[in-house]
Amino acid sequence: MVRQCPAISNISFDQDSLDAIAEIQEIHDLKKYGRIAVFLGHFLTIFGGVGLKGASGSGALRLENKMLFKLGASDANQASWNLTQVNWEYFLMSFQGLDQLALQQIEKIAYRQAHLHISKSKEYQFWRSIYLGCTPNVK
Amino acid sequence: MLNRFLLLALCLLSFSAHSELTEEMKYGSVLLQINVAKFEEKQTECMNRVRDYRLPVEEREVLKKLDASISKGLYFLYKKSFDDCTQPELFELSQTLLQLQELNKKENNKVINEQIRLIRQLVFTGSDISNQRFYDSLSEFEKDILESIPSFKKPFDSLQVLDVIQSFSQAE
Repeated sequence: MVRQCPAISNISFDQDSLDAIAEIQEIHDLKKYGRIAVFLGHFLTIFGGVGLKGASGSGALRLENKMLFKLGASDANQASWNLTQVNWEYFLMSFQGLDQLALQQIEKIAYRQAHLHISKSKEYQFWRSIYLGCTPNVK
Repeated sequence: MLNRFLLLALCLLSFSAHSELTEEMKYGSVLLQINVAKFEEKQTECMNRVRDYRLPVEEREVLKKLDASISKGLYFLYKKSFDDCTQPELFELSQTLLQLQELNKKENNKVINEQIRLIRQLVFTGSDISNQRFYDSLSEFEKDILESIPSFKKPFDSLQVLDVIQSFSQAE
């Protein structure tokens, strides 16, 4: 069950909290503006570049086949690397994992801030709520 | 979840960003992604252990001697137990990150720089030095008590511990 966010009136933030909010904002923007996706695009371009060069028409499919799913010994570009199948599976997982890491990072920042603000009840309540997760009470 | 085809479309759009990398750097960059995924998997497991943590009844009594002012020092112990839990994945990720950063000093490849920056931003938080400083500033008495608690050696929920400490002070 998702908790409802508590109403915290007249809260003021110290510099530690403001820095943490800015850090969370940056991570939020990574997701919102698709910076993670853009990075992954550039990244796959570098690694899929060879595969793309000879592609005609179905370039995307060819890249997909070459880069992500056909990394066996028959692939001259990758054979010398000799990565295990398990590691290639982790490699593929890492692209989805970045979004999850972003959420976990926000949780970790909030958890740390709660400890730093134990003597400031409103800030403590604010950070604790972020860590635990809550849904805004908007009517 | 990112749509694979969106990624592939982005690949095509960003083809201009392509630059030649040495095989060593390509391999290092792939290894970094692999280590990120392994770390994420382990971190999720450790976070679940923190959520499942229940302070043992027999350890509650000893906490009566403390007050909530130890919170920053307690966070250091939490962080240490959490980092220990994410080993060896955290070490392997950090090592690959530093080595790739070193390799890229000469090449200064933008994509590798972005990969390193992104992963640093998504994995490392706060300063372990300031956490250590907070812990070192605790009295020997406080440190002895905190270090005597067995469940703090493994991932534990330090906010739950602080709740217990605060409930004792409120009851007094």
